[in-house]
Parts: sequence; structure tokens; C-alpha cells
Amino acid sequence: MIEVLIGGGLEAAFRYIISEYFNSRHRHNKIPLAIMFINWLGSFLLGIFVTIPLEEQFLLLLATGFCGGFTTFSTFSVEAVQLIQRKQYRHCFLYITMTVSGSIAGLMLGMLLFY
Amino acid sequence: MSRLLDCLLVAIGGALGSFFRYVLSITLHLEVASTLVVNIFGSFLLGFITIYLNEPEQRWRKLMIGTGFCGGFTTMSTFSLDVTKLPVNLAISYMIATICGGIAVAFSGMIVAVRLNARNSND
Repeated sequence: MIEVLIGGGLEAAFRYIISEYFNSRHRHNKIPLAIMFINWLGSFLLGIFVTIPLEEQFLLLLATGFCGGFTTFSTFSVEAVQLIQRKQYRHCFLYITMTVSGSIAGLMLGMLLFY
Repeated sequence: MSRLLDCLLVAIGGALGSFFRYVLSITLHLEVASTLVVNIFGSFLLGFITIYLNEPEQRWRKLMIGTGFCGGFTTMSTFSLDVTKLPVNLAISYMIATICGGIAVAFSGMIVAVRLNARNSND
């Protein structure tokens, strides 16, 4: 339990810092790149953590807490809706396909690397 | 100092969000479906909060509940893991259900917030 709390808290703060930093430097981007990269990276890391043999408490800390708290689906949904509202349908489609396929590919890459 | 406080708020929200996700996943015993439930519910909540807590003085609440809690509650990495674990036809339906459902409920959350804001300003 406590592992999930610690991992999730740390990583949510980490996600916030990365996305703030990224957004302050790349204001003009139409596609919300920060959250996309965060989701890719978190999925890649989860692929590694579920493949390498870990004790259960470390698995909870790293996989459920760390990766789960780092990646986010809700921000992804809201950003996709906001792209639709701004009538940027092409960017919305790109954002959705790139996030989903990139996350799955990242996860598989992480699994393969430590297989 | 205020940035540190912001990070702390996000961390508290994120810890709680991750904790609730974990508790739900071990109590529901629904395997993949619990990730779906979590992602759909979190998307609705974030959609609602994005519009509802829009005043500058509500910023800390937005950071804690929105960026922290909703962000930590929902997960893209477990979603990807679920997709790779499922057989192909189930994986495709799962992906479509999560993505279309998530976007639809985020949008409905926003609409509910707009309605509530309009009602509050009328009172």
C-alpha cells in the first residue's frame, strides 16, 4: 500500500515538472507533446519492470506506483477533446494514434530489451 | 517556494490517485476491466474539473485533484500492458472502448461543468 502511495506521489510531481518545463519551452506546439512523451516513457519503463524479476514490494513501487502515477489517461482524453473543440481534427487523430501506438510499442520494446 | 508547493500538491493528489487505483484493482477482481473503469472515471472527473475549477484562486485545487489525483488515478502504461496481454480481437475492442469512452466522458464532464457554472452564476 505505502509503496503505491510513495511511487504515485513522486511520479505525479515528476510528470507535472516535466510537462510544465516542456510547455514553457514549446508553447506553439499544436499537439500536446509533453504528455505524449511521458506516456511513451512510462509505458517503456513498465515493460522493463514487468519483465525483470522483482520482489513484490518493488514491483508495486515501480510498476503500479511509479509508472501508473507517471502516465495518465485522463489528461490524454481532455487534450484530445480540446483539440476537437479547436477543430484541429487532423492533429487530434495524430495525437490519439501516436500516443496509443507509441505507448504499446514502447512497452513491447521495454519487454524485449530485458527478455 | 510556490513551485515547490505546487509540486507537493500534485504529489499528494497523485499518491491518493495511485492508491485508489491500486485498491480498486485488488478489490474489483475484474483484471482488465478495472483499468477501463479507472480510466473512464478519471477522464470524466478531469474533464469536469478542467472547466469547473477555472478561477485563479482555485488553482491549488485544480492541481491537486486534476493534475495529481486524476493523473495518478488513470494510467496509460497499464492500458498498454493490458492490450499486449489480451488476444487480438479483445485487445482491439478494449482499445476502442477505452479511447472512445475516455474522450466521450471527458467531453460530457466538460458539458456538466459548463451547465453547473451557468446555473451557479444565475443564482
